[in-house]
Amino acid sequence: MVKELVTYPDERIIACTDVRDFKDESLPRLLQDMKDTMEANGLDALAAIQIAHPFNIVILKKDGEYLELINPRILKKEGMFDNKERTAYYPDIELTVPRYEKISLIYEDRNGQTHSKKIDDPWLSTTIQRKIDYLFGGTPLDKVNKEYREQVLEALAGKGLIPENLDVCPTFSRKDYITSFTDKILFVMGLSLLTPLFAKFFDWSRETISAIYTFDKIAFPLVLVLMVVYFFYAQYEARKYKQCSSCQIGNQIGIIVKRSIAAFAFALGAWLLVNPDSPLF
Amino acid sequence: MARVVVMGGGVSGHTAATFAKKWLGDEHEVVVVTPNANWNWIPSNIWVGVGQMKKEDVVFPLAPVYAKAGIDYRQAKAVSIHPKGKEGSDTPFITIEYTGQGKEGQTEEITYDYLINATGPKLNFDATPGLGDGNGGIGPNTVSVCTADHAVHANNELRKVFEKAKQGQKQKIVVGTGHGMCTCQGAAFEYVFNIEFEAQRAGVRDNVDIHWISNESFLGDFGIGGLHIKRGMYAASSKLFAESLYVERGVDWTIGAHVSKVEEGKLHYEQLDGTEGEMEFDFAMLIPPFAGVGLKAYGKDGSDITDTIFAPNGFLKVDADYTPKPYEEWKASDWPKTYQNPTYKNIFACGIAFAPPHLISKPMKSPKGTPINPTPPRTGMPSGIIGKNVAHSIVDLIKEGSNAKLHEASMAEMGAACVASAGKSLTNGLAAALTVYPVVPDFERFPGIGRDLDYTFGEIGLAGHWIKHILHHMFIYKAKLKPGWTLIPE
Repeated sequence: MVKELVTYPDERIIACTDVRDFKDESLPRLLQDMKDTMEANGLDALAAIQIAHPFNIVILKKDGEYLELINPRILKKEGMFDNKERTAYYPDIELTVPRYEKISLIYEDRNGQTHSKKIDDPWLSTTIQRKIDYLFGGTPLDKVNKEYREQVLEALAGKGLIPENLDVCPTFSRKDYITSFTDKILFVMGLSLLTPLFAKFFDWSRETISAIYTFDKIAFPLVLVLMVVYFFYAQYEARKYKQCSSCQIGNQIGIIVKRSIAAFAFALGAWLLVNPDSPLF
Repeated sequence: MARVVVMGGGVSGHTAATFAKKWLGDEHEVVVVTPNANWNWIPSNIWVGVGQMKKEDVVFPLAPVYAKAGIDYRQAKAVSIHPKGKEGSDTPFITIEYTGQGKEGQTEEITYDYLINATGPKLNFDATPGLGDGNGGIGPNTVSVCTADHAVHANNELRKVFEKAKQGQKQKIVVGTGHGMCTCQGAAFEYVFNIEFEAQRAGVRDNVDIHWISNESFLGDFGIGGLHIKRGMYAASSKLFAESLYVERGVDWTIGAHVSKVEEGKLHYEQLDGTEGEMEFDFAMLIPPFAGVGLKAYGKDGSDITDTIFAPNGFLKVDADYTPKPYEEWKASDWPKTYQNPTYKNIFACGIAFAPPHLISKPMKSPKGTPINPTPPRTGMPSGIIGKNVAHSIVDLIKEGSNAKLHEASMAEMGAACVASAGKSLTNGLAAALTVYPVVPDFERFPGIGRDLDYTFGEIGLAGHWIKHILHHMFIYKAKLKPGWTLIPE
């Protein structure tokens, strides 16, 4: 039976597992469905997940013959080069992906028997690598650098292909507004420590110095409050992203601790250097 | 007064002994028999192995800690178990041979009411020709980070390699598993990336070629068949995560490999496709396979009943289903829950010492029939949890009698967290923090992937390194039984 192809931005592409039960009657049926789908779409290779079946199966067609690779593993690789390739998952897009010219792999047949194969044909080798990318929770785009990946995703977005829910780390999140604002306050607090110097050169009045110290007195607790707000907002925001390094609670604590220590140091400095009633004067 | 004897003072044995003593109090006796004078926080050995920590940072003497806790500490190795006693006495006992406390070489019998086998593994270097010295120790061709002393030696050798690299000589470093049936890929993974990090720090990275060799059939297997990390509604594999890291850090790999022989500067291997190869190296850290420590068991008449208590690999039989089954029929319920020996109900095992029913990763063999697959890890968090549960069961048996309900801690119902270091630095260190639930995939409860994706996730970053560092101090604090130690989780 011809099945519908899973294409970008359908995220079902990243869910695969090894075939465990070779006696399962649905296995030969799935293999036939894959072949029917390949014929109907004129494809030379297909991974089972490309028709939404989450199993580690690849079928290749070369010179009219089908090769079924179940639970394949690439054991050896040789001769990396940049391969220009197309895949049904990213329609109408040519990708340049680092691939190996030659590979050796082991795989199982539909009866669970293990075989090994050395592939010297670059087309076959790169096609298998591309399909295996899908088997372990990824796509060929996971093999390219970030800049190139973003270019491709932009090109796909230009064709109207946009994921509904980008569930990965955002490049800029709203919590960054809080850290950015806090950093500016800290910068001014740091700058205020130069008050004795400026006061001496420009002969500032006690009132001016008092005003600057008032800013420091407000800024210190404000930074602490902002950090508390940051923590809770970051926690709320982190729930939106399941894969997000900057959302790790450790990173958030690091950001809070760093800024709180800076605020405390600047406040202490201000009490000693800016405070008109400083014990130093 | 009941006597609980714990054989082994590692993560699992120490946890079991200290909790048993805390819960039993002075009314009952807890004896720890371990050949080591020191307790070692093994996960930090990798930092000793790259010179970022000293041996003293990862070990502490056991005697004062056990003295404070009221635990009877014998620095000795267990030699045999006599579960039915001996002629003229039905009281079960073990025989020990002292390795310290001024009694070196002396033997003694210690009777027990309950026995916990937490001996950990024998580092079976001799399983691979050239990896061992022929006497059970590590050979001269490679290094190891399995013990603190091994790690100190590894760092000394590593520094020599870096020194040569500084002088412009190209050096080849190989890290991984030294046999087709190894576990602990995680430790080797941490070590290879810490070496890479140190090579960068030392400014010699360009002259150092770093290579990974392991028995995993795909990068990121880690002995647990890999793990899937939730991404949206779906799952991404640890293979992807691992491959990205290896490529990013310029570490090439050879997988599905059984190291069959090691010589000076060269190792031989066989791969899952049946091909054989050789690899030259200037420095190699290869994890050895684990085996049981070789304890013997005897009946009352002195007959050898080792096979009754121990599996052929030397690990203690517990309440697992050891019936041989094909891979597709493996079930989560095969895994032990109480860790009680089925024949002798007053013997338990915890940590690496219990015999697992089968592998976790997919079993694989080369065409020549050589098994090449990771064996199940029973270290870290699971071993601590199991140790505590076994102690709990024994305490209840002592206090409530033989009908007390045993506590359960199946690895198929247990989650685990792992923080794998990939470089030690306060400002630009790196570690991968992974949690997995359950450790042993349960394909009946979680069809397809076998794990609950809500509790299986991973991240890599600087924060992970900080957590790893904090955990180092926390677990050593806990093991020293300092105030509040029971509040720190396993």
